[in-house]
Amino acid sequence: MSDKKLDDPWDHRLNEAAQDYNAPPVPPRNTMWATIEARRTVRRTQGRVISVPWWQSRKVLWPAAAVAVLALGIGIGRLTAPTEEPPVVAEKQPVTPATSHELPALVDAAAHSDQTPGMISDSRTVTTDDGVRERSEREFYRYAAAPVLGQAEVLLAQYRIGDTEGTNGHTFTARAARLLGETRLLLDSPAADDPQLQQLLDDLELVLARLVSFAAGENQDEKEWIDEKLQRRFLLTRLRAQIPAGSALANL
Amino acid sequence: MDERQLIERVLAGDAAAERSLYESHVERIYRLAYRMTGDENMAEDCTQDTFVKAFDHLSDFEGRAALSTWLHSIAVSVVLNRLRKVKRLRRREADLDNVPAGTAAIPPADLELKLHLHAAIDKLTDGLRLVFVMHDIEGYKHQEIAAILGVPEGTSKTRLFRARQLLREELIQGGSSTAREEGS
Repeated sequence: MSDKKLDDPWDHRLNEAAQDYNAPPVPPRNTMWATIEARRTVRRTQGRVISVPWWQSRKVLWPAAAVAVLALGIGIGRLTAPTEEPPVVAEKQPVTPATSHELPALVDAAAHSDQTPGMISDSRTVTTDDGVRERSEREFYRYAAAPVLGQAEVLLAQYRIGDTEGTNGHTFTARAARLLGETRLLLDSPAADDPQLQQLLDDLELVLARLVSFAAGENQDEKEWIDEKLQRRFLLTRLRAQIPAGSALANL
Repeated sequence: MDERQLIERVLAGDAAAERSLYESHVERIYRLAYRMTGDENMAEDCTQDTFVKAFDHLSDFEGRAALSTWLHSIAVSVVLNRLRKVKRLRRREADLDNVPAGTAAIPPADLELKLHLHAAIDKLTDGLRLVFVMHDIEGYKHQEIAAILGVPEGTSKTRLFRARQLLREELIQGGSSTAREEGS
């Protein structure tokens, strides 16, 4: 097969010793094929989505949904935020008009007294704003991920009760494949910067990849793996914990 | 069914033909990916990426080279890209506890040589290591390697010569007594 020329005994010895270098195990053919199939199914499904009207396209729907959710969040936040306590008003002092020679000193003192508290107040505002922004971003992406997580929860719940056939077995496979694609999109998005969400999406991706293969009826032995993963990683519980309670988005 | 017919059937969307194409080549692709990465997950990922890309671009395959060569050139590109990204550090300590089962019968001198050699192979650049792995370990011919890498056959030979030379030097400098004794 090879055109090896190993005249030198040292080369021969070297060659023999090298044979164990990263000695490969038996390739997991079925597992790899299942993933390849799942990825190809996702691509095909995504290819079909291109033909939907522009206003239904993912590029428009996702940002629109995200903006709507953000606006809703801000609205609710403003409505429910505790109102600020009224500023303490100093007791009224009888005002006496300043004389012309007292005026520059008063202006200077007023500038000083205004500036110092103002600066402290500004820096506090910046710190608070950073924290709020960070929390808002995290919440924003969690809300953006909610529809996918909600649909995944429904799909996995159906799978657990054995409702993978339904009226149309293909629909289940297609839904699983579409969710797999969307999960991967979320993993590639800033949503995955949230470690908790990223871990959940990672687990979901693995399960969905196997589920696509299982639902397509190619690898029945995947069921055991999926069941174990669902049970050991508490995937359904974690999904439910991430979905906002009563969120209409979950049913989108 | 010959290769051309198989490709036509895959392009026509025949799932059985896709599987058949996969089965014909997966073993060698996976072996090469594993030899280069030394990691089961990475090897699986690389193999999957290779086939996904191959199926996606099969219509671009012009048939000027063998399908196997074309697939391998995709695999090599995927593997090298992955290695560049990961920059994985391998640790090959001469720790007998970590030696895989079944090596107990290997004489200590041979075992030492192997451990040093494997560490030395890890130190080669990816380009040299690839040619060494393909030729000396996986048994590819220079002609095949040259076609896969898109280089002249002479380049493949030169790289192999250089890789072997570096391995010798590394083993001798690395203090492998076995290497010194046996190499002289």
